[in-house]
Amino acid sequence: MLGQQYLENPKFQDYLTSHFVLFRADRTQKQGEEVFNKFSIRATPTVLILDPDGSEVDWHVGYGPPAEKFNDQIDKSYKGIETYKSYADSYAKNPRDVAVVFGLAKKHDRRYNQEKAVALYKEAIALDPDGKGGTTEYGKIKVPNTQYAEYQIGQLSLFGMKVDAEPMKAFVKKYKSGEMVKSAYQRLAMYYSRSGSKEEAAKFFEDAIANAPNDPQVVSAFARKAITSKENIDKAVELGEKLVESQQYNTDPSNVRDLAELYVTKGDTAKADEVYGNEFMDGKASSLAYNLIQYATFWSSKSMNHESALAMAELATKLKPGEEYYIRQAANACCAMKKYDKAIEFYGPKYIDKFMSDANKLGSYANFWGSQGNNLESALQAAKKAVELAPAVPSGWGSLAIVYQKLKKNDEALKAGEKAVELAPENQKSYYKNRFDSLKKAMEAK
Amino acid sequence: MKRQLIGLAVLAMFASTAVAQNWFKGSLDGALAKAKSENKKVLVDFFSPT
Repeated sequence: MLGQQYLENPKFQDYLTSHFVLFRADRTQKQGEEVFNKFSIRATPTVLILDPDGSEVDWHVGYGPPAEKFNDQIDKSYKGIETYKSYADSYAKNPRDVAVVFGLAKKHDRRYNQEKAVALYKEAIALDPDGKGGTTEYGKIKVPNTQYAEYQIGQLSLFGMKVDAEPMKAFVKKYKSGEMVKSAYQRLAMYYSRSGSKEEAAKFFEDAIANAPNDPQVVSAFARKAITSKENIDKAVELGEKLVESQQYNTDPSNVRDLAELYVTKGDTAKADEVYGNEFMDGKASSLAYNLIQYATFWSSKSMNHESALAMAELATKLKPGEEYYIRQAANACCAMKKYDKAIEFYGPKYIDKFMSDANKLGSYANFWGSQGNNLESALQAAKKAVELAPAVPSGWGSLAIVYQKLKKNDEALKAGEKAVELAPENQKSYYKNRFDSLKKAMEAK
Repeated sequence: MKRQLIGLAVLAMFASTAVAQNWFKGSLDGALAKAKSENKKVLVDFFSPT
């Protein structure tokens, strides 16, 4: 994504080539691997900016759109603003400047230099124990630098080379509530779901469940622990059931899966099947298919994303094979994109041939293609068959009228339209009359 | 219309080729030397295919 959206985007080439010599270290090549090792790069994408003497100016690990924002960050690095080099130079002159120490710590943190980051975060905390020295962003909120430093020490200690849960536990004990504490509980829950002594894990989860009984990550981690340890199963089931119930119609499959696994652990496979069986997944597939078709329908009427719209429409029909709603909607999207051959592949003669004794499907088919003004011979055949099978049903006659009108057989269209109005029950008379009037107007317009 | 579309496709092809040529061909030391002579910095993209 970084390559496509930024580094190789023609929009940014003038800027990039006028400020930098661009060098790609490809890990699959020997030379590239050597450069990876030279700079101890642990994650990709990483962009490293060097001065001509080979010294490191700054780095950016990871990428997220928009590319314009990333370009701004690269430009700041080029200009020496808040770079690793500027922080390192300032630190060398004044190691008691808390903003510099904190900035340098964050730089090492971003590059997964755990030891250096932790050491510098500790220095920043020692310089500003009350957290009045400045704030930094954490998601959408601002937190004191000191609090951020304490959290990051906890994070790096929990998942780094030398694992230690105590710093993160100390963080939770000190700050008690807030977004970072919530995140800390989630990290600790992940840790204790598979590590730590039995006693430590039990003590942690007792506290975590009391503080965050509805947090999906905490509940899921507790479930994982219960499944592997075969302890606290009933409590895990109770929490899992509450969590799934709270999610109502938008249940997270991973939470439901955890609950099913707990039921199986208890020996109740019937209950597992009830919550996480075929009916559950069929519901998820239906929901996905519906969203895919909505996507296809949306983009089919715009001037972009047509390839993607078509792909999503096809996927929807594969998820729900044989279901007419998705097939017709996929055909509708194709028609909107003027891909009539593709529409006929979805919803053409090969499809309707299977339903030549179903008046409803025949009438819907004829109505669809009559409205599109395409595939009319097949539509006419279907409409005729519909009225033959169900001569007293007005909708078949209405479809026949539309198809005749599109075929410019006006006399036959008028007769079929009048028949539809004649057969319509009282509560539908005005609907069919309006359709008939529209048909006549369309004939007069041509 | 058809000529315009062919023209756009050819332009896109040239643009893609031009972008590919912007990556320095040679060693990192060579890139650093070029940066020194042109008063630029070196931007290293650490790339690992997914």
